[in-house]
Amino acid sequence: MNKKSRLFSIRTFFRRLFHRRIVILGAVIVLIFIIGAIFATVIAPYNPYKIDVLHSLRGASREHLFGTDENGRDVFSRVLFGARTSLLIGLIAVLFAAIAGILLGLISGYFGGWVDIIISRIMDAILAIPNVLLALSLGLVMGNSIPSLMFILGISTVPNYARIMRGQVMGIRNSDYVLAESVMGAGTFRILLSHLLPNCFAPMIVLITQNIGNTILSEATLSFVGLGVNPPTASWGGMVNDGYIYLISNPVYSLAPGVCIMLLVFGFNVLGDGLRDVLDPKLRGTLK
Amino acid sequence: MSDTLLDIKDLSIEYHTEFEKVYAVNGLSLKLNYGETLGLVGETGAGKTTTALGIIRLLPDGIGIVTKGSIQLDGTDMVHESEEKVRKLRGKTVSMIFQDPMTSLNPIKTVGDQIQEVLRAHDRSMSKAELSRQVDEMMEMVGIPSYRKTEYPHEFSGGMKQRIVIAMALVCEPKLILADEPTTALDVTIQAQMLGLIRNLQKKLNTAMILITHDLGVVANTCEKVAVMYAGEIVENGFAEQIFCQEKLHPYTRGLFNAIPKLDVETSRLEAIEGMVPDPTQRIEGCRFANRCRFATPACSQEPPYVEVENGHFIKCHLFSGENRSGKTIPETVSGSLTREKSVVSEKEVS
Amino acid sequence: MAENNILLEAKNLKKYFKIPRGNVHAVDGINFRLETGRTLGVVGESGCGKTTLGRVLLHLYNATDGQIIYRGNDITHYTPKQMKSIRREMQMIFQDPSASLDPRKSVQDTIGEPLKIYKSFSDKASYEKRVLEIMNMVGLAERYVSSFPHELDGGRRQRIGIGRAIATNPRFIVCDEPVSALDVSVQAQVLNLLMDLQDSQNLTYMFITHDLSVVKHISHDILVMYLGQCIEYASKKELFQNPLHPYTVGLLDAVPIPTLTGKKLGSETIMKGELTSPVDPIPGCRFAARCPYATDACKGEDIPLKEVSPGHFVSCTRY
Repeated sequence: MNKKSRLFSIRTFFRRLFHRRIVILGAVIVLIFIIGAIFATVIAPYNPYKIDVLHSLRGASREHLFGTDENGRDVFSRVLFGARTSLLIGLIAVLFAAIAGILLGLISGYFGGWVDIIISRIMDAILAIPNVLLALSLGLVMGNSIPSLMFILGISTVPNYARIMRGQVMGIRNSDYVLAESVMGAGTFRILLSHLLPNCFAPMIVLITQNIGNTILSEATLSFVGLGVNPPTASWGGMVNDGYIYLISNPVYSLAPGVCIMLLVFGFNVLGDGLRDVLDPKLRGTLK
Repeated sequence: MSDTLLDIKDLSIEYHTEFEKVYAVNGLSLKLNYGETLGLVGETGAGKTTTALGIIRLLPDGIGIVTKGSIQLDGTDMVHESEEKVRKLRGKTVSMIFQDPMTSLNPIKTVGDQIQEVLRAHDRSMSKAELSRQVDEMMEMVGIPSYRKTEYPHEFSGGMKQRIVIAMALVCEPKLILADEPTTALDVTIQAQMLGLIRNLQKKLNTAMILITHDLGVVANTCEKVAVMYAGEIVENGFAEQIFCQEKLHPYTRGLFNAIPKLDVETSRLEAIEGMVPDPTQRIEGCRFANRCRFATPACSQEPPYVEVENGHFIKCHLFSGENRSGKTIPETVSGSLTREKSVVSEKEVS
Repeated sequence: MAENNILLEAKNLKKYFKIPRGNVHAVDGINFRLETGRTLGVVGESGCGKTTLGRVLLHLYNATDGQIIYRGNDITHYTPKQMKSIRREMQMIFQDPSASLDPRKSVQDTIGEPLKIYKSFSDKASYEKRVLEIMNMVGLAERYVSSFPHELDGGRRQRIGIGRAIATNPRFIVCDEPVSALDVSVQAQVLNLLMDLQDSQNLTYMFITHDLSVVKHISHDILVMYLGQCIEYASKKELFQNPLHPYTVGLLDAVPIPTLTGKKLGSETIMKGELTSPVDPIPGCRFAARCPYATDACKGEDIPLKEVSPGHFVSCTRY
């Protein structure tokens, strides 16, 4: 019975999620990129770092699906490896931000008082600094390696999670079932982790999904302006930057990574919207 | 012109959500004359509010659908008439009072303006002075000094807010008021004031009223006629005297009476109606109450007839059909037979 | 009255809440003694402080003043750690069963929650057995063991809440309007269940409600509250046969009775007005503003509870 009812609810979850066609499209796009990134070494026809100056700046052809860049590297292979970079940075940065933000929000929402004031002010301070400025200054201090990029991209979104989580927690902190826990004599830790966290999690999943798209976009932006991933590591933003001077002569070079950015961000955003429609507590009540 | 104000015939309303169909009202027929008060009694999910929303045609768009039957209100077909025509009837011919006054009040407008708006919606030609005079008059009538008309809803207490909602509902002197649990959210003393107010105004303006409630006490205090709803049907319908004398009753109505703790009689143990209301997403053949009914027989799997057990008193139950018409064979109550074991075990037996 | 039979006693209990305008006197000097196995009904309109009273007794709020004596010990100033030792003996049943159950926890997890908190069982099998035992006691069929609250109706949800409350074999339960959100037919089922449990488990209840018919049905003693104060306190029989305080009389008059022979409501006898503000009320009878018998004697200072006949206390200048 237990398993059956769980399975049933997972099935209804997906049925509702994919009720709108466009959500399926978004999910498929995201899935394709994830598969592409995971199996990049298998799928990629060439070594993305192998320089072959003799065949530089070729247009799209059978040998080179998206042509080659100014160093003769296969653009299609580099796009695949770029997906790896983008997804890796996006996922880890978002995960880092989400964990930090959710914990901070949980603590500040539940305890209130001066704990809340201190955390909230720090979050305000982070929000007040423009992302690019933050990236510039942190990049100077930490150097623009991939881990530092993840940190930079993550830290700027921590306040988003913290704020929404705080609001959620404050909304249910005084609800009867949390009060019931106190009556039973449950400790703070148990209330926080066993009741508040699971009940506030749905909007967090939505936020995480939507933020992955935004983070990938930010990564591309930073790489485009030269603050992101260092060459020769393949990164979509960097590739667009490298390629846009050849936009007229060899458009596919910069367009391919550009379109990929667009598609992947679109995919994550649509998926996030779909999740929001399903997980939003207000809708959940009416559909039962 | 006949004296029938509202004539509902075989009405069925379903809610179609994305994933299921809810059969909220199933073949309901009801008649109400001008100036009459009817108490529509039933538990949560019986379809009382849905019926009212169907009458005033405010069912949620595209979700609440009248699948069968007709509603004639003061000569208008409320099921098929154009939206524009129906909008003009709302407020003027029929109006509704909701349970929570805050849902009907706009928090950023003064109460005077809100009452005035209802008037203006139906008569654009009214002069400012005339509007103001009528608003004052209405406010005094519901017991609020008219100088308070420049105040906002949040400045009033719960009971006062409900008075304003009543004023808004009555200001165009409608022929029918649908009052949906108007006093449920209020304290008893305020409820008593409100019931007195509603009754006096109803008499004064000679408005017909359908009072939706789950409280038989409220019905006894305000209504001439009573209709008992269960799972989307009216199972019993009659004059208040016939119902409250408790001689012949549908087993469900009898159960309701027995289940309330009484203030005037000493009771050691309540006779609960065991079991639960049937799932409204399922269609049920025969009597819908049968699975909770103490008197259920195999015959109950057939649709029960509507029997007129006495003049104007209808009961939808097999117990009263055929030679049983007098209902004499029904045991009064089976009191004291419910032991603890029973109340625990029954949960497993039912459904 | 055997002294040692007293489970819970409140002495001049007060709870004020600070708001910018002053202090809300939610509970303002409540006294009562509750014997083991009995039910104290607390009646009053919304905003009279009855819910706060229950929560102060359970130490969910700290009392502003006064004493709570539980089984002979003054627990008023117990620290959370000290409270933990008696938490399992004092439980609560909430008004709205859908709000008081964690929507993401199954029936087993909810009823078993207190068992887990007190680590009552080390092995899973006996834990599950105990949960089923409790479900049986509150009349929940075993097949619901892994259902979630939203899959069940109000009556069954309230049974879960009751199951959770009795899981640790408590002595005292605060029932805060446990049947107000339920339909009458289900309400009767739940009231019967509560009375059965009281008999079989020797439970002591504080039953908070606004519904006089319900309180009359279930209580042994009744405390009528008005704006944080107890205005009348008597045994059930005495209170309903011989109500003395004008507010109690008005309250009883206001209940709609489902017969046609009774008086019609809304006549002149009905109490006028509504509750006055509980923020720093001026001394004197709090009910004076609505009372038909109010005189100058009612103003100036608070009216103490007076024992007019054995066990019947009333705070009114007329007695």
